[in-house]
Amino acid sequence: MSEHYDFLFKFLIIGSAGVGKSCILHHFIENKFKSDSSHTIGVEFGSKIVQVRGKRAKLQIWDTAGQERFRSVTRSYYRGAAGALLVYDITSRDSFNALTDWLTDARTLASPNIVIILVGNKKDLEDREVTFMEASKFAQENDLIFLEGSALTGEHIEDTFLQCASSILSKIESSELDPDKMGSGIQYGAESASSRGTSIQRRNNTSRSDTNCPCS
Amino acid sequence: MDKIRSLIHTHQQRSIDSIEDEPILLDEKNISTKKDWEDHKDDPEEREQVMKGIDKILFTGDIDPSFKLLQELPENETDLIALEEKRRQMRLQHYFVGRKLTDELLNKKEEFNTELDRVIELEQDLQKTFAVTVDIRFSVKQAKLGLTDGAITLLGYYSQRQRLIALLNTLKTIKILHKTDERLRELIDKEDFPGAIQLCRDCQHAAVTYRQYTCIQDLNSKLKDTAVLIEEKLDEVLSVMCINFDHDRYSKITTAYLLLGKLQSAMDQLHMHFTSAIHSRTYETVYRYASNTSVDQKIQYEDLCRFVPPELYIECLSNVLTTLWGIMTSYQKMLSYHYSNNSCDEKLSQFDKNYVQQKLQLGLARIWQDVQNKVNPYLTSQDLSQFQFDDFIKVLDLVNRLIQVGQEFCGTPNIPCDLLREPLRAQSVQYFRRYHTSRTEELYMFLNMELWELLPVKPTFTTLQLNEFRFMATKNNAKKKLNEIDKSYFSEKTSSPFIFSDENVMEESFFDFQEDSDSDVNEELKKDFVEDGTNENDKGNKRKKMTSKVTFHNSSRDGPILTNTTLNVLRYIGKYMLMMDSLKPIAFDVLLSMSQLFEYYMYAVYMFFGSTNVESSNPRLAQLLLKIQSSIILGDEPRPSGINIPPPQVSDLINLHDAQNLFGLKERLIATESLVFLASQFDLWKEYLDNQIPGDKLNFLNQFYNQTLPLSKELREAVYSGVAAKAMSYGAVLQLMGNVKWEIKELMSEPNSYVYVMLQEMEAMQQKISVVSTFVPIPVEVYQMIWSLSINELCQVFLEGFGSARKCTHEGRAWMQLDFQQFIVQVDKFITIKPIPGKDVVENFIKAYYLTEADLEQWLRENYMSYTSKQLNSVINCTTGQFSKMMQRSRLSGIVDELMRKS
Ligand SMILES: Nc1nc2c(ncn2[C@@H]2O[C@H](COP(=O)(O)OP(=O)(O)OP(=O)(O)O)[C@@H](O)[C@H]2O)c(=O)[nH]1
Ligand SMILES: [Mg+2]
Repeated sequence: MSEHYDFLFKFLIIGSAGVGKSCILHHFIENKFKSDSSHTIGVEFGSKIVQVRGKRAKLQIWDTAGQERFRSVTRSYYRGAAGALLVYDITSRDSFNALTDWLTDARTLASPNIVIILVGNKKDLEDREVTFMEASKFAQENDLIFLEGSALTGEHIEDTFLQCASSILSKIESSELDPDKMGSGIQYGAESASSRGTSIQRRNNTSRSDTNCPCS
Repeated sequence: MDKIRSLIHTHQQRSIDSIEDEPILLDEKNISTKKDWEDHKDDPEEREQVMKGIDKILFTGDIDPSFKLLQELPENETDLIALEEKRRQMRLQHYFVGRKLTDELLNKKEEFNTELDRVIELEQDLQKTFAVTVDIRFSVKQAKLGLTDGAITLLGYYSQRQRLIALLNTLKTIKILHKTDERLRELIDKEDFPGAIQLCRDCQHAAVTYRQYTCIQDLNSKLKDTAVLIEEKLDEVLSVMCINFDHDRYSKITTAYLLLGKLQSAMDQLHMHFTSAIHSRTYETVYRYASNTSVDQKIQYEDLCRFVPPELYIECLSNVLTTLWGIMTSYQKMLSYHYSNNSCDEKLSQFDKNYVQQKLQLGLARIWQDVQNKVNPYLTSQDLSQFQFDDFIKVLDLVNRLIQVGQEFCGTPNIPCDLLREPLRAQSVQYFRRYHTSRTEELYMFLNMELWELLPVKPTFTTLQLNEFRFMATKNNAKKKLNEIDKSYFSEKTSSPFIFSDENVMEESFFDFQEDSDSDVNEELKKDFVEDGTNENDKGNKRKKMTSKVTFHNSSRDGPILTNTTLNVLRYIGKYMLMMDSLKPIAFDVLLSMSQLFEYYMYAVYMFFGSTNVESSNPRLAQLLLKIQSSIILGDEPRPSGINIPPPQVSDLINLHDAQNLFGLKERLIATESLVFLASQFDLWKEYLDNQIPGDKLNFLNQFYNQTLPLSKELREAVYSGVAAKAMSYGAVLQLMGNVKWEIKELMSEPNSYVYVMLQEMEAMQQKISVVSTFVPIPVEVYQMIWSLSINELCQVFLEGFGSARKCTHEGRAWMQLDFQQFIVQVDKFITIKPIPGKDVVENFIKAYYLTEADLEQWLRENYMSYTSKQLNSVINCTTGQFSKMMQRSRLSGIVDELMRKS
């Protein structure tokens, strides 16, 4: 198809039920808040091509259900993920407390080199239960990138994905990650000259990533 | 008149004379002659005669008759007689004339008298007049003498004053005339055009009266300008009416046009106004959206459309359509204005009225065409295939809504809309092709990731609860995404039908059912948890008593068997069906693609879990799978047109080779049953699909329903036979059987030990199944199928074992029967199924031993198909062993060979 890309990254979104994982994915792809979100059953899928470090990366994102009963199903999607969004809800202490379990799952089931970004969602809400500081500390201890954002306002939503992708890309560049290794969650895109979309789309894509990419 | 008067006068005199003369004449000369004319006096004939004889000349007044007569006398007349005669004649003549004159006089006497009276009266009048004149002359003389020069000058001034007053009035009027120009402008500004026109007219009339003044000429040209201005203003307002119709303003301008006598030509101009309104307003709207990219001011509309940023495409379209709808609404209002009875219409002649109505009616189709011409380039300007599904549907909804609006606008559902439908179709085809390809790619991924775990949905789960199917449960709500319109798109209070109302969507999602979720059933969840606990205990207890208790699938307690992939296929199908509704023209393409999703899933399940010998066991299924492979699966060479889905790859975590888990029975079961579930869901959609698919394509639909879907159940056998074929250690049993000596001389009362081994194997299998059933409740049908297939396998083992016996006695045969009987009795422990598969074949085989040679031949011919040639030969060997005749043996073997060749 016309959607050319240089890399393909397999991404995972995990975290307790109701923290806003599906909303984050929806906002990333459709650029708007999913007001009628209901609990995810099993695993859903979404994909989007982003521009990172001058490369086009296709993100294949698996949005997992946070509800306990789906664990057996969702676990099977961890395998070979190159990046993960570990999401909690800043207004829910429980969702923050559960992070350790989620992290263990991710580190054991996905590739050991998986790049994980911790996302404190629902930043738009007032009744915060988890402070930025403690989450920050948790991230540092566990070697995670950390961002607070909101799927409602869209704040930092794209950034989370871009930072994650950017981190993976830099690890590839520094040979810390080997895309050819089995289960790396990374693939090279089809080698083809850029013959992508119309001029307008190209312009928009570049402009968006230029302005928003925090890592360039 | 004078002649007659003189005649009368002469005659009078003459008669007076003659009275004096005649006596002399009479007396002196001719008394006798008196008699002459007296005699003749009463003879009218003679009188006539005589009167004729009178010389006419005598009647002329200016000659003297006597002199005349004397002149006529001959010079020397002497003849007295002749003279006398002449005289006599003359007398006679005179007499008659006299008589006649007297008669005449007598006749006219009365008239004469009255005439005379009048003459006298006239004479008196003359005298009075004369007296008055004399009097006047005297007075004038007096006046002349009495008046002075100053008085005369005064009189002069006075008359001048009078004239100046008249001039002043004129000037005042002219001043007012000049002032009216201001007033006119005021009226124009107030848009009181009828008033302005009337005033302008009056002014012009007045101007004609005073045209001798130079200043009036200026005024005239000014008025002409004003008249032009009025028409321009009218035109302006008319063009505003196209965009924003206002009853009062429109009423004013129609009245004005009517006053100008230009209503018809205004109506002729109207379409142009609308066309330009459509053009300019559309352009402006699109420009607003495209302008943040540096767009050339004079860019063509068609090119401008290309610069609308994709993320604003829908908003812009919605605004363009709202604008167009506004113009169409104005048109409709104008139309209904002219159809309703209103003040202006009363002034309209019937002819005008008809003209206007007809004009407007004809205009409808043209306006619609203009609208289409504007929307078409917008629709074709961009490739929408990158759009999100919901957004693409929005575009379709908007355009379909526009067509509805157009239908109401034109008053008929049969309006041309190819300019809208065709780009929609083209975009849809393109969009859907891309969309479908992406979905198949995703499906490939899902299948590749799938570990064939049961997706734990609630027992109450139904497909229709999925967001993607909400449109079916509440079919009408699918359209609610666009503002709901009650009756008419053009009624007074209708707001734009092209605005998406977000509130509606939210409401639905909050008040309608939610997707399968825990949040709304917290209570239920607790209950579930408690129940689960007791269930666990129950299971434990039962397991102790009856080691191999299998949990059967119970649809009221357990949810349907489906996987994450199945659920996503269902979601895809939901979206496809919604697309079908919106993409009516390509509904069939969508259906075809939808069937491909199912087929791919089915193909994958077979490829992952099916047995290889499906060609012989189920040719129809084999044919379908082959068809799927050749139509959608990417082969060595990709199909140039059509879909190419890479062959499904099973996850490498799936292990189908472990006897301990019955060769992946759990995964096989979840896979096949999820396929069966998926197929069963199509029943929910049959009616919907029937309505969506064009009639000529229903054949395809029916074929899919009758020939593809039912085969998903038949796939079970292909999958579970793989389990059954290896489920037990058939080889070990066979080996044990091979050790048995059938040449015994006494009847045995105990079955052979291999039968117990078999039973152990069965028990073990049951145990494994029960373990699987703790993960996935097993549908009874599946359980029966696995067992049937396995028992059939065991029967084959029996046949093979029995058929391997080289020698066998009657007692040996009876032992076989005992063994088999023992087996059959045990089968009932695991499964109640009649007839037990394979049982007849085995029993038949055993019984054949007792047949006579002739009957055996018959038996061979009838039953050879159920056995191998080795088994048949064994029967021949064992039975004919009693006859011990080589000849017979080889003849029957020959028959077997022949039969086997045939088959
Ligand atoms: N205020 C606010 N609400 C949010 C935000 N993100 C999500 N929500 C709300 O949180 C609820 C759950 O969001 P989902 O995205 O469905 O949560 P999830 O993590 O996918 O949940 P599961 O699928 O059950 O694991 C929804 O009602 C959202 O409206 C946010 O950034 N701000
Ligand atoms: Mg979710």
